Amino acid sequence: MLPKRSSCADRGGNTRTMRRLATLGLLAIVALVAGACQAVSLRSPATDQAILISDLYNLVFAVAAVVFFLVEGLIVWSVIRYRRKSTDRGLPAQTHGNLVLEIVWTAVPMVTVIAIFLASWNVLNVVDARDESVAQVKVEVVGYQWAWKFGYPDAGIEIYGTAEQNPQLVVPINKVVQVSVSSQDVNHGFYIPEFLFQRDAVPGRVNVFQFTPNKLGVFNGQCSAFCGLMHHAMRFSVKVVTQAEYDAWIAAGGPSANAAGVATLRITTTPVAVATPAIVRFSRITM
Amino acid sequence: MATTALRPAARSGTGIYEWLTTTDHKKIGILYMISSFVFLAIGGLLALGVRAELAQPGLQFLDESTYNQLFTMHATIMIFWVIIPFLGAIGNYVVPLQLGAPDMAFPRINALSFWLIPFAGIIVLSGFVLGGAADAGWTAYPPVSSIKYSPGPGMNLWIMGLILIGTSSILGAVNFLVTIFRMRAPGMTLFRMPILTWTVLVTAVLVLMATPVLTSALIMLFIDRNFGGSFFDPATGGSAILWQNIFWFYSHPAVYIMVLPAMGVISEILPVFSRKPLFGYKAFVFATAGIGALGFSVWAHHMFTTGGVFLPFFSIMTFFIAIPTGVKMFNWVATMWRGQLIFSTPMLFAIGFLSMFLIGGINGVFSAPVPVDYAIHATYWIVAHIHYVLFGGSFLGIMAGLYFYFPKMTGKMLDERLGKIHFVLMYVGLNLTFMPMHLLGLSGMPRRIADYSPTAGWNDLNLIATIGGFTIGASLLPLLWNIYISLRNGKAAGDDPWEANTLEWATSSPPPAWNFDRLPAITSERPLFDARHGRSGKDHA
Ligand SMILES: [Cu+2]
Repeated sequence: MLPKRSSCADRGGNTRTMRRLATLGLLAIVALVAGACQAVSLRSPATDQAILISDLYNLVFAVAAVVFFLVEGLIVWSVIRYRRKSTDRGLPAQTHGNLVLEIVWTAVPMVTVIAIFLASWNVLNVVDARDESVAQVKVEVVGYQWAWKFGYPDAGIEIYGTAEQNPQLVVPINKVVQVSVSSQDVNHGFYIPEFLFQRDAVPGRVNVFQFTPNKLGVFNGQCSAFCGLMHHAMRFSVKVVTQAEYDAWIAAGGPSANAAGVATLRITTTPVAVATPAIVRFSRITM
Repeated sequence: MATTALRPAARSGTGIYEWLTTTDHKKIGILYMISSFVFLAIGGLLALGVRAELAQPGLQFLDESTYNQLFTMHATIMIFWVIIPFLGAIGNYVVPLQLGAPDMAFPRINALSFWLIPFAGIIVLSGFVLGGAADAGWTAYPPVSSIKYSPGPGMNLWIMGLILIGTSSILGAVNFLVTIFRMRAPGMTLFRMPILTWTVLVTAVLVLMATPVLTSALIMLFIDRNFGGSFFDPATGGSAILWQNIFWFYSHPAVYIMVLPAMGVISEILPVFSRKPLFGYKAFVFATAGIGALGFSVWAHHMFTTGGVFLPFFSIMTFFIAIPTGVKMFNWVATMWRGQLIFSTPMLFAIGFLSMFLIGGINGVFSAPVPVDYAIHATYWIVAHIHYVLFGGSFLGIMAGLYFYFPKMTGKMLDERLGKIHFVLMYVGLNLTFMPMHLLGLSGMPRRIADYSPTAGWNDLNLIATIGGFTIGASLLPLLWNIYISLRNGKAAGDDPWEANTLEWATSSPPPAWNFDRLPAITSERPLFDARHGRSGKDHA
């Protein structure tokens, strides 16, 4: 249907078509918005902490969307409504400002950002909570060019990845997992998109954080801090299993030898971390 | 007004020798611009190399080593040799004219500031032919930038080039400050200065306070690398995080150094093409100063994930800095409100700036709530953010300024039709490139990776971004063609082709070496408007 110039003239005949088109258009918009909302959210969260982060992100996004549509709308409106017309004579009113307006559009954003800050503060206190006493599984993560070492000091298991053989961290579902992350050479970033979380592995520092996985499955992770030549290859995964599977895995001494050679496995007789000279030792956690 | 006494003994030649030895701020401004265009071509090609490689998973065109050099040098060149000098070009050309001054305060230092730029640029780029350019990212975090992990000559050359270009910035900042405080025409009080000059003033203060800090960090890194220092090496008692603190103490204000003058350009253009004064002139000045001041208190939001930052302070300050930026946004929109908008090319780019910089402001606020930053830090979300700020903001602002001031600089108008083609291509291209990067970041693609897994779901978005990147590249062709044909047979511009407000339009195009034969009375921030409409201007309330 070609758009007609004089849309007002043929109002009578096409009402039904118009209404149908309007309905279709509305459905299309709803579908589009729904699709867009799907696309613009973070990965679906796989830990208790990530759920909070996801909610916080959605809050920020909602406020951002309001600001975006408000201001872009004002811009578009000005462009359409206030273009200079051939009938314009003389100058438009020379408005130099408006104190009340300016106070309003300073104060409203101020209140808004303080509110978001407080919300984010609450979430941060949970996400960054590091209560050693509640940790049920403790793992040590060490980044090195260009792979990861995962250690289970209590079980004497150490898993060494390479850039070709990405290591896998195995943790039980619904348990508080405490990660101590460091680096033995340059900065790395321990980042798992579905945990909505990353923490840098910095040489000379041990960063500690906790998470509680709440979904079974394998979650891919990757180094997020540029670390040199093969930065892109520094991948790993986290496998979340049931407690029974986890216990069996630990009892079997970690990844089995035939697991596609995923990792080198070293079991010590004593439940103390191996003193591999090149690897940072976790004798003390400083936070 | 008696300006004849201030006439410098400028030569008026146009030969090569004259251009190489000039101390005329206008010629130096044009030199800045030419140099910026050359480096834009280089930085742009580096970016296209990156985008070509990322179009599909797998390594098709580059190896990791080359890729790392490309993205490092792309950012380095675009920040230090394109955006800052482009703004320097506009500032150099326009600020003395806006003040009614005959030149900058220190014309020879001005020439030195410029000539450091191409030489410093050659130094950093020479790495490509001397065994590998810098490849540690433009942020050059140790230990990756240390001699152990980055042993080639590129990193040393990068440090030397950056120290030189920092020196150029510092000299330029002193020059601008003295010019603004000492060289204003009679009647040009601080609160009658055009906003562009105000933004250059605040930028100069930022440069003066921040750039020496970067220089000291660079010297420390140089000592670490070459003379066995241990500032940043944890193995010998240094701290890797220390570099990040010093680096961002400069580099966060640097973002405002790159944005404030572009905001100034926009604030000149929007009133002219809306035929109204800037809404809230004083609020705008205070917001500019506020951004400058707050800009020094947010640096560690680049480091939330290091575990070594006092989080609440930097989080709330990062929230707060959104406010003066928001105030400006509303001021610009209110300037257009109930105006009579004329959509010449400068205005199109100015509106492009508004609509894109808004996105760069909003997606930046996502890094203020720390937990959200944990999710998006170092992902393509951040790449999208900085490009909406520096491309959608700064660069569109620079393009607006180029179209706006080209008639003044050359006496010729640029072609409107080619200008509009340029605008549409660039606007579409930049959104095609950077909009998908938000989604890539949300789905977990880290920045600075040469390759990605074909099963990660990032293929289509990367392909779109690459197509967009090449569209941006193509959009520069009509611009260059436009400049070429307009210089040859463009329409004569006359003194004031846009019916503008400020003093630079009160002299001929191009202006004589001494800038002004006579000045209009300056009784408001719009002396030309007052003269044109026969009012004695009144200071804005
Ligand atoms: Cu890494």
